[in-house]
Amino acid sequence: MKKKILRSGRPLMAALIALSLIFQSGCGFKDIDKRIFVLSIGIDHTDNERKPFKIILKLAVPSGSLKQSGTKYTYLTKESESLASAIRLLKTHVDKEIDFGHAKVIVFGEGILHHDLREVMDFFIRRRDIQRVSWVAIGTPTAESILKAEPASEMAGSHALFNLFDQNGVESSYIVSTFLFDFRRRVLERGIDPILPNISSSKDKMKIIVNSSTLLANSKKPLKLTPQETKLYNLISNNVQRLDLIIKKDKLLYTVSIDSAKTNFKIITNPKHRPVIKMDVTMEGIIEESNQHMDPQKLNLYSKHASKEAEKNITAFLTKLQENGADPLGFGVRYEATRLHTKDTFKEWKKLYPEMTFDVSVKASIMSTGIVE
Amino acid sequence: MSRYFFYLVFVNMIANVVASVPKILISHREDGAIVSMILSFFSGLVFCYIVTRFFNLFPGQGLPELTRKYLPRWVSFPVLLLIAGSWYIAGLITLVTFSFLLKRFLTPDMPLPWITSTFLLFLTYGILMKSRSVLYTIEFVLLCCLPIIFVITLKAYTTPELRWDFIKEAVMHIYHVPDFSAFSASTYLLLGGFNLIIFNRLFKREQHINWKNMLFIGLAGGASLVTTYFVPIGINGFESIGGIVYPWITTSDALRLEFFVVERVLYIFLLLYLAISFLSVLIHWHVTLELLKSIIWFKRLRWKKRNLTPFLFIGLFWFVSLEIVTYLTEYQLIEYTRYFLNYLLCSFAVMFGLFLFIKRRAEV
Repeated sequence: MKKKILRSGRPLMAALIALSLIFQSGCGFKDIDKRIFVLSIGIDHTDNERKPFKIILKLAVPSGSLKQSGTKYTYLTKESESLASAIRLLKTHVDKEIDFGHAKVIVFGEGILHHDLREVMDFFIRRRDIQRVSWVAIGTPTAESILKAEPASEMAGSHALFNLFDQNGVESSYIVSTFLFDFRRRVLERGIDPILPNISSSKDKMKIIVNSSTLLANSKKPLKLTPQETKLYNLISNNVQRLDLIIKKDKLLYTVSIDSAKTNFKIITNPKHRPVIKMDVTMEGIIEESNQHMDPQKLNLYSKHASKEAEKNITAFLTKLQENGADPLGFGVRYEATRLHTKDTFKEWKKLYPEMTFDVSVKASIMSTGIVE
Repeated sequence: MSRYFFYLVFVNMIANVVASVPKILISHREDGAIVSMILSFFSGLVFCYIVTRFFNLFPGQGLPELTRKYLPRWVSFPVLLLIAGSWYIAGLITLVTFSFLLKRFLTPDMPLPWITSTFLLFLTYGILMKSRSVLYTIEFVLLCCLPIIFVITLKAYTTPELRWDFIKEAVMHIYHVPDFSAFSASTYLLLGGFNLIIFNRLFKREQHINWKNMLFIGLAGGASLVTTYFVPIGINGFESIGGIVYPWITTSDALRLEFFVVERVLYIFLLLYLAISFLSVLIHWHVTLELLKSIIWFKRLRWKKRNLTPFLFIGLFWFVSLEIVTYLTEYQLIEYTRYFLNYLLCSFAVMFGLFLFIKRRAEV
């Protein structure tokens, strides 16, 4: 009899431990129907000195069936002196727990750019539930107008802004995608400057356009880049593989579609010569459009024209960056990465950068004239 | 060498990420982290080699058996107590750090003592197992985790967001004088072999560590040391990494597996390290318990034919962990970890003295 009791001791113990899980009532877990998910967060500047921040949250309204109800969003806005307190207050505006786990786009209004970016960004990088892989962008004229735009092509369950930056849906050489962690390191690091895509929306709020970008060189005014410059930036920072080049030579006008591109650069400082940044770009592509008959035997010549054109454009772009003291490509970091560190490395670089000359050599090779000659 | 020996070494290499080692190394990135890492790599390998060679001389015997045989009790008692203490703290640091991590990232609404208690519940069962079962557990869990860790590491190295310029910038700070804290922190990676002080009891057949084994450990250790230090810098930037409390957690959050079940690597990473840190604490505390059992044993403390001494120690383990976990702040934890790792390195002088002494007495 006694042996029997002993044998049943272990299972009993195990059962007791398992049963103790019942006491875990206050776990704080909330069911999914008690949560509402934030899709994107926007921050605008108000003119009110006391409450400079205006926060806008775009929330996905949960619905029973997608087919019936289509896409529905709701918005929350609040002005406050700190983002955290605004969000605490916004919690009282909805009947559910606000969940930031799926917030993937953060939009800064243009007005906020004059603020110290560290201060604005702090909330996002300090909180645990905001993804470090969410995209950061600038909304013109305000973040609110971007968030409230509902493009006609937007489908239920797939937010238009996500598709624009994720290189799965839209693949474009005009779009710069900047992750939050990338933005952070560019803001804090010396020798590399943040660059953010610019989103604008049409007046009827049915369209969202992203094709330009803004450079935020530290302690300088934001510098807007045109779509063409944005494309060049994407090319030389190895962000994109596919892009198009338009080449005009005498009467011949043709477009080359590049499908693979690679850029390397080197900083050469020699006491005898002027310091130079040597940039090599190799591209490969085919002709996409032309206003004249293309001779396949002259492909080499066409390639040469294309290289010349690209060299000219890139040099002009780099010079513009240099004149504005902006460095989104990380020349400064490269300088520090190739010279043994001393106290003055970065000071040297700051003196050197305005004097730099650019030696860009592009090697474009056009492989085909397309389906027709 | 038996493959189980390598598991012991590997767990320490992988688990260092949750033991504040990257944080300590990174805080010295501008004063000598790299030279310290290079130095510690070699000294760590030498330590590993010495301890394995020593225990190869005594197959099937752990440190308690050897001290009992060759040392007077008044020497062995304090020494073993000291070693048990260090091993306990090593486990405790992993436990507390990971409890903090869970509280911060996975279960923010759960009170800290609860999280620790759940951990402790499973650990209690684990460390009371036979040493052999502990080794089997380690093998199983490690083999499940290693492929995923490998994939994440590969992902970290191949992501275009890893800027090699930041890494090179870090390398350019190579000429600084090494720092002791950085040195001891990175040596910790290679100290897994010291768990032989108990686990050698199981390696009954005669074993010899050869240069192939050492090469293997060296390669794995070097790779994990380099990854531990350089990947967070490459992802977060050389200067801006300084302000980050958990460098590796932030780094894993910056990775993105677009077409995986979970997009955010952070959560996979945390679950993975939940398993790894469990292993680490399991090993350290199992060693602690066995050491304590060998020096303190109350024969009279019996209940139903079972000696209750181990449960006494377990109770102590629970009490201390729960006290510490509620007392420490994150900052203090890193500071104390730094002191502990420094102390650990110094205490090995005593350990090697002990080895030398035993070897002389045993005349082998």
